[in-house]
Amino acid sequence: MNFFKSKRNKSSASSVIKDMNRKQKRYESLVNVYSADLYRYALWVCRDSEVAQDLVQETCLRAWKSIDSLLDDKSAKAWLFTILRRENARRFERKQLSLVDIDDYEVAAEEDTSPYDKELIQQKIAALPADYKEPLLLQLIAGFTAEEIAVQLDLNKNTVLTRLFRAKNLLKTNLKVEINNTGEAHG
Amino acid sequence: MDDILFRHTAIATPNDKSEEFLERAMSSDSSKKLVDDGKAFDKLLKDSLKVDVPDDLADKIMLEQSFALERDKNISARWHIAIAASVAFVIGLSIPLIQKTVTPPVEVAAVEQAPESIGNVALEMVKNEYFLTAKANENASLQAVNAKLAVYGGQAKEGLGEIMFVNYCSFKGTSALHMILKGEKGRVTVFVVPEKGKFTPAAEFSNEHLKGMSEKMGKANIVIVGEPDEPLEMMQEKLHDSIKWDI
Repeated sequence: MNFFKSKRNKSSASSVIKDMNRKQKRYESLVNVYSADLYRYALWVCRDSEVAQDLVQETCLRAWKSIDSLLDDKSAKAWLFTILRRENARRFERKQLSLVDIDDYEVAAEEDTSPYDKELIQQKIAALPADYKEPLLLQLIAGFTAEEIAVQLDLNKNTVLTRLFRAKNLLKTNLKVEINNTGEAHG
Repeated sequence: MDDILFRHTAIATPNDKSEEFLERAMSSDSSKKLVDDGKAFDKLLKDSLKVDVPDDLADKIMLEQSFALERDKNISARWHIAIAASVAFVIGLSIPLIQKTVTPPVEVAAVEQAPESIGNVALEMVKNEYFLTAKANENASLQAVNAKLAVYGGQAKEGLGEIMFVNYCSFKGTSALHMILKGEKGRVTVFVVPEKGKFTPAAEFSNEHLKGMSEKMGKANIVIVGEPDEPLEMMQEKLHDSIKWDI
C-alpha cells in the first residue's frame, strides 16, 4: 500500500510543496503579528525575560505543528494565547516553584513619585493577585474583549467584568492617581 | 443600563461597543467624562505594560522552527528503518512459532517451561505493540479505565493524567490490562498483570531502548515501562496515589 501512496504523492508533489509554502507564509505572518504581544504577556506573567522568550518559542513551535487545525485566521490570536497560557501552566507543573515572590513587588507607594511613573505602575500591576492580573493583561496587552477573556479563562463574562473593574480600582487606589489629571495628561 | 452597571463598565471596559453603553455614555457630560477617564486610565496602564521586546525574537522563533523541521525529517527517516526492523523482527519471531505448531503435541508437557521474568515479557510486549500504540490516542475516560481495571480489583480516581490507551491484552498467555499514560517526557506503558500469571518478579529491568519497573499492588503485579529518560518513579507514585486496590 505504501508503494501506491508514494506513487500518487509523486504526481501531486508540486501541490504539496505549494501547500508547504503557503503554510510557511501563514506561520511567518502569525509570528510577525503576534510574537511581540505574546512575549509581553509572557513576561508579565512570569517576570523573566529568558523564560518569557522560551515560552513564546515553545508556543510558536506548537502552533506550527498544528497550524493546519487553525481554520480561521480571526481566531489565531485567541488560539495562540491559549497555547501560551497552557505552556505557562505546564511550566508550573514541571517545577512547583514560582519564579517570583510577590512580596518583591509589594513596594510601598513612595510619596514623591509622580502618578505617571511607569515603573511604579509596573510594580503595582505585577503585585496584583493573579486572578485580577490575568484578565487585565489579556485586555490591555492582547486586546481581547470581555467575552474573549471569558472564553480564555473559562469564566463567565460578568466575572471577567468584575475582575477587570476590581483590578483597575485596586491599581487606582494603590497609585493614588487622580483620574482627572490622567485624563488631561494622557487623553 | 443602570447607573452602577454603567460606572462599572466605564472602568472595566471603557471601549465597550454595545449600543446601550454608547447611548448611555453620550447621554450627559458627566457620563462622557467617566468613559473618557476610563479610557485614559486604560491607556496609562497600556503604556506601562508596553515593555520592549527583544529585537531578534521573531528571527529566533523562525530559527527554532527550521530546526524543528529538520528534526522531524530525521525522525521520519528513522521511522522507515524502524518499520524494516520490525518486519525482520516479526519474521524472526514467527519462524519458531510456525515450527512449534508443526511439531506434534506430544511435547506439550515439555513446553511447560520455567516462568519468565515479568520484565522481559513486558519489554517484549511494548516493543511488539509499538506500531499499534505509538500513535494511538483514544483519550480514554476514567470510566473506561475503571470498567476494565475493576476486573483486577482496582479502582482509579482523578489524577492518572492523560490516558492514551486502555485495553486488555494477552501478557504471555495471562489476560492483563494494558494502559498507556502520558508521562513526564513521553508515553508510559503500564501493565496490570494478575497474580495467577506465573512470572518471576523483576523490580527493575531495561534493554537498550526501554526501561521498566514492577511492583505488587493489590492482587496484581504492576509493570511500568518507559523510555530511558522517563522518571518512572513519578508514574509509580501517581499510580499509588490514584488507584485503590481491593485487598
